[in-house]
This record gives sequence, C-alpha cells and structure tokens, in this order.
Amino acid sequence: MLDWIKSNGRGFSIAVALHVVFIGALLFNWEWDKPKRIVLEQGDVIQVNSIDANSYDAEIKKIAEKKRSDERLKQQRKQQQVKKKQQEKKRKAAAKKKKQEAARLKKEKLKQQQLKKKALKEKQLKDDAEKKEALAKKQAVEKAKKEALAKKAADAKKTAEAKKKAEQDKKRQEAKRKQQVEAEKKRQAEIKRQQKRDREEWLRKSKGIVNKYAALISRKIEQNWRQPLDVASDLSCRVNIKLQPTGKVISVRVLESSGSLSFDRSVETAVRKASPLPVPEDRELFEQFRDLTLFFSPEQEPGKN
Amino acid sequence: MFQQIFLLILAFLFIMPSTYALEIEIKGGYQSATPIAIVPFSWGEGQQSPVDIAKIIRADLSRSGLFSPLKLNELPERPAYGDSIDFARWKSTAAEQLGVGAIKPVGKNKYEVTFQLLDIFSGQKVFSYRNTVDGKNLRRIAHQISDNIYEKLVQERGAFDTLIAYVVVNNNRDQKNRTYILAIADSDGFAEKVILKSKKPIMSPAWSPNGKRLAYVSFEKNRSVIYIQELKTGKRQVIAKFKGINSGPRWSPDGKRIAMTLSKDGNSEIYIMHLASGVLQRITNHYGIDTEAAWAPNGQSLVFTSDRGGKPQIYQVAVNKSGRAGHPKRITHEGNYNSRASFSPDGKELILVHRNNGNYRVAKLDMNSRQLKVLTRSKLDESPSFAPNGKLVLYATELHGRGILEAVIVDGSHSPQRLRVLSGDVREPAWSPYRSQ
Repeated sequence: MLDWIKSNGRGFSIAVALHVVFIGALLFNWEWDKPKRIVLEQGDVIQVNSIDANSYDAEIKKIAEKKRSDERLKQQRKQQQVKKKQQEKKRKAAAKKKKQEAARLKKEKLKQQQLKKKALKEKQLKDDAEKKEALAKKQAVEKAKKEALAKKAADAKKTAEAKKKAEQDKKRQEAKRKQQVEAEKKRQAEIKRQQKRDREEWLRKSKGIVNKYAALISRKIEQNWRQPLDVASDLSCRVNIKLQPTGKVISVRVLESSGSLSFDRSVETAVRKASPLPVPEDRELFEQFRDLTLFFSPEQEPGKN
Repeated sequence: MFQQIFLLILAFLFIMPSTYALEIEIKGGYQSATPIAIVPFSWGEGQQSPVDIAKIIRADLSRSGLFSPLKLNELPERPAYGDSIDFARWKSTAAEQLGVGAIKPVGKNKYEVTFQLLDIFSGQKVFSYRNTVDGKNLRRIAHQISDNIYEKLVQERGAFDTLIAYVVVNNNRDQKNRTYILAIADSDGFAEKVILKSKKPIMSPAWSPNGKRLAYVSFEKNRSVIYIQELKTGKRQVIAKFKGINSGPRWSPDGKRIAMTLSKDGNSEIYIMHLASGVLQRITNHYGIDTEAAWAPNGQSLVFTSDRGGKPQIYQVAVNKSGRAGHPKRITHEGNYNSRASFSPDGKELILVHRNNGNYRVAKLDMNSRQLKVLTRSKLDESPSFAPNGKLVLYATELHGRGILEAVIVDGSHSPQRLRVLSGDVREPAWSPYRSQ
C-alpha cells in the first residue's frame, strides 16, 4: 500500500483531497442549513493579511475587509465546493456518463457488433442472396442467352427449315410443274402421235377415197379439156390449182408451160370449166385437194389413134 | 361396175406418190374448134348498123376452122362492153371466149368501133380494140378484129384482112352469053370488086408480093396474053404475048420476076421474065409438058408440073437470077397425078392437087419427109392457094356441077369451110399476101 502511495503520491494526495472535499462538503452542506459560521478548513491555503489596528475604520474596514474577504473566501470556498460538487457531480456524471457511455459504447459496440454481425450476416445473406440472385440472374441471363441462342438457333433452324422447306416446296413445285409440263408434253406428243396414227390409219383407209376423187377430178377435167385443133399432140403442161372446200377453183397457175400459149390456155380453161371439182366432203381429206398439181398430156393410149 | 373399175384404174394410174402434194394426171381431152361468142355490136337506139361486124367476125372465125362461134339464139345476153357481162350466164353456154363491141357514129360516115374479147372462165380481158373508120372500111375493121382474135387465141398471125382474086364464069352453059370476070374480094368472098370482064376466058390470076398488082392471062385477044394490072388505077400492061401458050404467071418473092409457061419454042417450058428488062430466062427444056411454075419463098427454086415421067408430077428446079437453072428433080411419087403445086409461106410444104381414085383433091406434101396428105374429100378440086399465114388453103371445087370456093385448114382433120357461094362458076382463086395497114 505504501509502495503504491509512494509511487502514486499525486494520486493519493488527490484522493485525500477529494476525500476532504467530500467530507467537508458533507459537513458544509449540513451547516448551511444552520447559522452561518466560517470554518477554516484545514488543508485550504488562506492568505491572511495583519489588520492594521491603527484605524477602527481601518480596523472595521479591516474587519469588514476581513469579513468580506472571509465572505469572499467563504463564497469562494462555497463556490469552490459548489464547483467541486459540480465538478464531482460533473465527474460523477462524467463517470456515470463515462460508465453509461462505456455501457452504451459497450452496448453500442455489442449492438454494433451485433449489428455488424447482423449486417455481416445480412451482408452474407445479402451476398448470398445477391450471389444467389446473380447466379440466378446469370443463370437466367445464361438461360435467356441460351434460350435466345436456342431460340435463335431454333429460329435459324426454323428459318432454314422454312427456307429449305420453301425451297423444297419450290423445288417440288418446280419438279411438279416440270413434271406436269413434261406430262403435258408427253400427253400432247401422245395426242399428236395418236393423231398421226389416227391420221395415218385414216389416210390409209381414206386413200381409196382420195384415189377415187383424184380419178373423178381427172375425169371431170378431161371431159372439159378441149384442145385447139392446131396444136401438136406431144405437148404437155403442168399447172398448180387451188381449190375451195366446195371444190371451186380459186386459181390456176402454169408451173411448166407447154410452150404453146393456146395449149396452156386450153388447160387453164379446162380446169375452170370443170369447176367446181369433185372433192371429198371431209375437211381433212379435202386438205389433200386444196393445193393440187395437174399434169396435162393429150397423148392417147396406143392404138386409140 | 365398169365405171368403178375404170375409176380404180384411173386412180392407180394418176396418183403420183413421189411427191407429197397430190398430182393428178389428165390425159386425152378432145380437139375441137374453140367455141366463141361474138355478140352483135351495139348500135345507136333503134338503128341498124350498115355492116354487121359481129357476123363478119363469126364467119371469119368459123371459116378458119379453129373456131365454132355460137349462134345468135345461143347468146344469153347481148352486152356491148366488158364491164356489163354476166359471166355466170355465159358459163352455161358452150362458149369459152366472148367478144363484145359497139359501133358509134362520130361524124359524117365516120364510126368509132370498139371491141373487147374476154375469157369467160377466168373473166380476164384478152384484148381490146378501138378504131375510127369510114363506113366503107367497116368490113375491113371486122376482119382486123378477127385477125386480133385469131392472133390472141391461136398465137399465129391472122389472114382475114386479106384479099382473094378469082375468076367467075357466068352462063357457063350458054356459050353465047358466057362471060368471064376477074374479081377480087375480101378473104370471106364479100365486097367483090370486078377487075376485068370479058367474053373470053380469063385465067391464072397471081398477086404481086406487095398485093398491089395482079398478073393474069386473058384470052380477050383470042389468044393467051399475060397482063399485069395495077389494082388501084386499073392500069395494065402486057408482059407476054408470045406465039403459042402464055400462061401461069407467078411473081417471084422479090417482085422483080415472073415465072411463066411459054410454048414459043414449040413445047411448054418454064421461063422467068425479068420485069425491068423484059429478058426471058428459060428454066426447063424437055419434050414433056412443063407448066404451072411456083416460086419457093426464098426465090431460089421453082416447082412445076411436068409429065416428063409419063404422068403429071411435081418437079423442083433450082434457079438464080442470072445463071443457068439446075436439073429438075421429081418430088412427088405418090399416085399418078399431082399438079398445080404452091409453096407454103415457110417453104416447108407444098399444096397441090392430087388424084386419088379418080378424085382430084387438095393435098399437102411435106418437103422434108415427102409425105403426102390429102386434105379434102371432094371430087374436083383445083387451084389450091395458101393463105399468107400458111394456115388455110383456098381452092375451087365443084358443087352440083358448079365451081365454088372452099378453104381448108392445113393442119388438122376437120371439114373444109365453104366460102360465100357466088353466082356463077368460081374458079382459080388466089390468096393475096398480107395487106399493109
């Protein structure tokens, strides 16, 4: 204890002072409630001036002075005590405050710690949440991206497919069209072939009719073929004639002249005289008679003069 | 049945399979004169044309033997112009050609004649003709139209616008009143003009190459004398009145000489007289009868009739203007009588009188092949004479004991066409050369 006082003299002094002040304050407080008495307090440093005994006034003054000084001292003391009390109070309040502050701080700290903890926790939670969210978001984004990609791919695929499909369709249609054209062509060709076959068949069948009409034409023209008297009998003449379906002669054109204009004229007249010529009623058969070449030769068969 | 077989045979014969287009052969046909319609020419209202031009044309065409004109009652209508023809109606007639015309008086004795020939079956105009003439030339216009038709349809020059000279004997059986007339007429025997009238025989008229003069033999001086007479003026001159026979004058193609038969040297011989100088050139010298000389168209030879072989035959002898004549060569061998030969205008044929089974007929001799072809079927033909286009031969023949004129187509086998039957006996016709327009 002594060691501790020795080493902490000032503290001890302060503590003793504080105790004196404290006890004195306690007594003072009590006296104040009784008549006023000036009590010197040991320990207080009082400066005392010797009263000039010469003058009452001076003395009274001195005494008043002294009284005033005491008063002032007392006042001062009081004030100091108040101040001390106040200081104590202040100190106590400060301590209390300090304590409270400490507690508060502690509490605060705790709270803060708690808060911190909580915040940490929250942060962690938040972080976790954020992380989670980010993850989720990322995942979502990725998912979205993925989806978008997939969609894009799908779209692309779809488009490609659509395109492909369109192309295929087109191709198919083209092919179909071609096929149709081909088929039509084939059909037409077949029709034509058939027609040709029919025609050939028909022609074969109708050859007899054609021959008959050729003979009828020959005979009708021959019957109308009057030759001039003074032409040689070794002449011949080839003409082209054009007929209407009625057999009417539209034109007679000399292809190879006999060399005798009057002989050529007789041929032309014979054809025109014989008009209308007998022709088949069938339009197609008639086509063979539309444009005819006629060869005229007056020479008689041998033995017929 | 036969018809069907016939048609089948025809069909096989006539269809030429070589070409795609059908070719039909027409063999045979028939020859005939061209049927033609010549519509009477229109004339002013209710008036009569002084000359029936259409009738003259019809007769001309008919006489040529190459045409058979429709009769008037066969004409379905009588259009005067080409644009007023209903061809459909004409097609139902026999005609192939149709001639329409009009005569319009355009002044005192002046007429405008129009004519169109149309092909009935083609409707084409063959030709059209227009001329303004005096009334006295209307006949000639008709013949010119005939020539045009002939030329267009036969493709040969026509000889209708020509003249004939002939001798007519009137009152042949009455020796006291018998008269002889030398006349010329249109080729159809109309529009006769008397050149010479005589109580004595007139013989052998011959045309100068330019058609302006006639040489003939007249017995008016009681002996044969050869005269040349200008037709326009009637002026004539004696060119041969030698002792004995003076006969058969024939003008050389150049018109400068006349071949004739003279017996001044005792026997009938062929001579050539050079008209400018009167110099005679003796061509034949034979004891047989040489007569009826005729010139080749090239003037380098003569044909004549001679009985030097026993029977009358045709001989040919080369002649030239100054030198000696060649040796006559016999050119007819068929039959025992051939006389009175004349050359065709192209010199390729002779026309002559050929006796066949006692009939004297006109025949033609091909100078190249020496083939003889009889053209007539009459009994007594004489004096055949070529038309200047060589297509027809004019000759005299006998009908009921009377001489008449006939024409026969040289190529062909149709009947001769009789010319106008004149009063009296007609003989010794001679066809003129072409006339200048």
